[in-house]
Amino acid sequence: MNYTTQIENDYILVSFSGDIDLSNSPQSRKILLDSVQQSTQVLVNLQDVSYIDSSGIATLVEALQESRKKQQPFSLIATSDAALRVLELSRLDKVFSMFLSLDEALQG
Amino acid sequence: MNADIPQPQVYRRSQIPARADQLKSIRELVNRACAAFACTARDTHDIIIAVDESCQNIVRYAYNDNESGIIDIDIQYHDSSIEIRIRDYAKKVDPAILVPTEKEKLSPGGLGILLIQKIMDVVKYLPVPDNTGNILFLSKKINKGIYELYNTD
Repeated sequence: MNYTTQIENDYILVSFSGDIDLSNSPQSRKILLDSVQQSTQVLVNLQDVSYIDSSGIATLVEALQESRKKQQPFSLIATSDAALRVLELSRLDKVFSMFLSLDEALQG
Repeated sequence: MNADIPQPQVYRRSQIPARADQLKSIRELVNRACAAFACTARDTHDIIIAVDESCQNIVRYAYNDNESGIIDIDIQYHDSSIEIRIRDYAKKVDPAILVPTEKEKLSPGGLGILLIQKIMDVVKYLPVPDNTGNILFLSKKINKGIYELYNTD
């Protein structure tokens, strides 16, 4: 797994790539929760995620819950087919706000 | 037997250290087996998820992240299904853990069993010959594979 963070005035964009699994989900959890604390809006780009397991999905759920506590948006962008499939199987695809692009997400 | 017909082989890896950093190589093993058995891309991805989640549960809960544990995996094709046996040598687990709990509220935990059950047709523990550890059996009917293609009339 690799990641980049783009910090703007009104949002943080976190872009993950590669496999998110039990070996690195603690790292992805820290990245996401730190971002939620630092910003008023977190956007997570999953376009280049080739695999994500339940531990990775759990980090997304936890970050979503923290965002809700702060009453701020938390969105997924350009979710890859691999990630979307796991969200569908978990019945979480309707829980997250998902957008095709950053522009679309920022327009709400 | 027609020598031109490829015979399904068993994809086997033994003595895999029960560690999170081994999950990627386990996924690669499943990917190779599914390719050999002519699984669709969708079935391949789903079966990889089910095996990964099963092994993840062994790492986290059966061995409690004790890195001295080991896992053995057999993957074979039988009667239009892909069959996977995942062996561990940890304490006996209660088969009741294979029943997913329906969650009323959004929760980060408990997704693994739900994914395994949604993907596979059969999920059960097999009797263990020497009563040591557990053998998890997963089976899924797969779309028409290469072995049936040789037998079309």
